[in-house]
Amino acid sequence: MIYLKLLQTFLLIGLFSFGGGYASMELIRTRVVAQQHWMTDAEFTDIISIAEMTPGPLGINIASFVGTRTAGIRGTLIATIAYALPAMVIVMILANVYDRYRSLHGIQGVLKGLRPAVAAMVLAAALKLTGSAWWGGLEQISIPNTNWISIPVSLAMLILLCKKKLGPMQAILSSGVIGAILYAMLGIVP
Amino acid sequence: MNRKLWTLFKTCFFISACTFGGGMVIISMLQKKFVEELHWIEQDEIMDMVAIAQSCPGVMAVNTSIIIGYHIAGMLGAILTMFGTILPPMIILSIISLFYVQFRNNLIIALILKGMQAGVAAVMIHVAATMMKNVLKDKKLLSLLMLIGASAAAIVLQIDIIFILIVCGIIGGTSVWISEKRGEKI
Repeated sequence: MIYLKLLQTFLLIGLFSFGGGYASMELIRTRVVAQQHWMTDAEFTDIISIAEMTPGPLGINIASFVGTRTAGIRGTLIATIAYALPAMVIVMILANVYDRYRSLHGIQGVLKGLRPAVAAMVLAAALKLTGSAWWGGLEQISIPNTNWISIPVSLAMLILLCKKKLGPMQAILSSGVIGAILYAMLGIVP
Repeated sequence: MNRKLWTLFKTCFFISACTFGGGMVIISMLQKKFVEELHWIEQDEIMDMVAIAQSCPGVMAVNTSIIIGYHIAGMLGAILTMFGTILPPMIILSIISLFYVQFRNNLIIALILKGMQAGVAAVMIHVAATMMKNVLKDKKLLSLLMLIGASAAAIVLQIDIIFILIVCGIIGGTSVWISEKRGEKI
């Protein structure tokens, strides 16, 4: 039952998505790509690009895209609402707790503890996606598999992100344009 | 009341539909509208609301709009602002998703998307580096050990992320509890 699987998967992702859009990428990737095989790693990277180019939060964009791709419009509704639902319940509980005690002290301790885990999650996703951009996957690192356009473009963008305060959207857009021109000039067809 | 509910929904819908660049941008737009224009919320309150939204799982922008709706019009307000915020990306992405295959088969778009993979990799590395720097900012051994442990568990041992999150949450909660018992300031 695809609807039930979507509901279950995105409720779980919604419940454990701490640390913002990029942090939940690894959580979504492990469930959607590695466990359910609803899409490939390359498609998943495409979605991050598309979600970054369109308005709205990254997590919601990905839930909607995956939902539609796996089970049509009904899938969209199920995945997106399931993704937002746990947060809605917890937000309302916390709002009540906060109104009563005017403090979120204990919760903040737990959140501080989550930070290393969140950083590790992003690192894992970063390695995976870098592997697929540079060699077509971390499992197949080798000289013949190396994408000699991807590596310098990534490094250039990384320097601009760190030094020139380039935004993520601008970085992805410009790498898309530069990459497309270089691939076209060298006659590489994807 | 109906007017208020409609304004809540409409505001969240338009802000979500027109805002590129993610969470913090949407939150500053919400703040402009509800605090500075409508005066429905105080400046101090919105700061606390963002803090609560950050403490919850899920998307911060959605959480903030839920809490604003809940504050202004209770449960119904929360439901309306949630839908207001998630509907625009939901509609846009489901349309893109339906045409993804045709879209992907276009040679130029395929080339651009292939080029973008390099940019996505760079952005992810940058976010990961920034987050790790943030974790290590407090210069505590525990943070360093947790970071190494969590990374090894996630990348080398391939342990389920959810399990790592739960363990780290417990360690974080306990360490705050212990240092409070000792009377330290955090």
